[in-house]
Amino acid sequence: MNPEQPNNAPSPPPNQPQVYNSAQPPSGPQSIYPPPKPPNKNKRLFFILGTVGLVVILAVVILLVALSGGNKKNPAVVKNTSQSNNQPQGPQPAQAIDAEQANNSISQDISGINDDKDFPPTQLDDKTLGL
Amino acid sequence: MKKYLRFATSLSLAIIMALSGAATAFAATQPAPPPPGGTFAQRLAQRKAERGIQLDARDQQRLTSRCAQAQSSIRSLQQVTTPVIANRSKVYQRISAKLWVIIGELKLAGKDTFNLEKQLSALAGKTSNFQATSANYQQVIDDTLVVNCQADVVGFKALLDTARLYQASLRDQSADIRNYVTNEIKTTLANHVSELQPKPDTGGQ
Repeated sequence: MNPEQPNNAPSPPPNQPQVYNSAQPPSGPQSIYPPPKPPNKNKRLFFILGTVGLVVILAVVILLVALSGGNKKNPAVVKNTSQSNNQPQGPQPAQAIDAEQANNSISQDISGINDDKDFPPTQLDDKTLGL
Repeated sequence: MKKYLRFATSLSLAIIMALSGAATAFAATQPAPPPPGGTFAQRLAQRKAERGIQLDARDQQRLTSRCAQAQSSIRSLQQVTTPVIANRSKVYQRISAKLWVIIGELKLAGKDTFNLEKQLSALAGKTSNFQATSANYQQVIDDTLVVNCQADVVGFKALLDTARLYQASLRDQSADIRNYVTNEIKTTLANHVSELQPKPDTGGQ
């Protein structure tokens, strides 16, 4: 028995010359058996990683679809937000017209109240009250 | 000696006149605000002590016979005065709010608002005094309707005189606020309008 051969490999029949396909003899000892197969452990790991990756990708896709679907349900909100972003918010620096409008408005307010009408000077006189 | 006597007499007369003038002024001075949470009896006693009413028999009879009718007129007055005072307070608050807004906008424009803020603070003090006076006035009007005028005609007279003084104060305070807004605040605002006007191009070459 040849020690270089694996135990599982069948041994060549005895007393038979070896047949060469080429004119030149082989350079050295050559195994005629296929290389050993990789162990099953690597396959399993590859399968698990692939599954996890696929799940992650699916989850991201679902999330994106849900978000884009939610935005589509409330277009008014989106439109209002975009519109409000275009308009200035909060108080603005005063211009001449603002101060003038405030002045005119205050004039209108103060002119709308009449002291003589609200508090007539003879309102509580003896004559008015019949005393 | 005679000179000294004349001087002493003149000085005495002057002092007497000054004191009588002060007494007259005291009778017409602003009544003191009633203590918070006081009862009608306490307020009535306060007004009687403040006014020091003294009626002769004729005035007492006249007031006793006519005070009930006067109370009816005062009741009608009360129904008119309450919304008038509420509306006036709202107007003052509206003016203050507009001033607050324009002060903020002027600050954003980089303008000096010190004078306007000082005037707004003064206006707030005046309107606060007006509201306190109007509250006391309405309280006295209420008390004038509550008092049994025929049983306590002196009390009725004291409350009525107090109401008259408060009403005169309201007129004075209203006029003061009007003058202040018109002559001071509006002038300051007009100055700001001029400052904010765009300056015309001097023309470059």
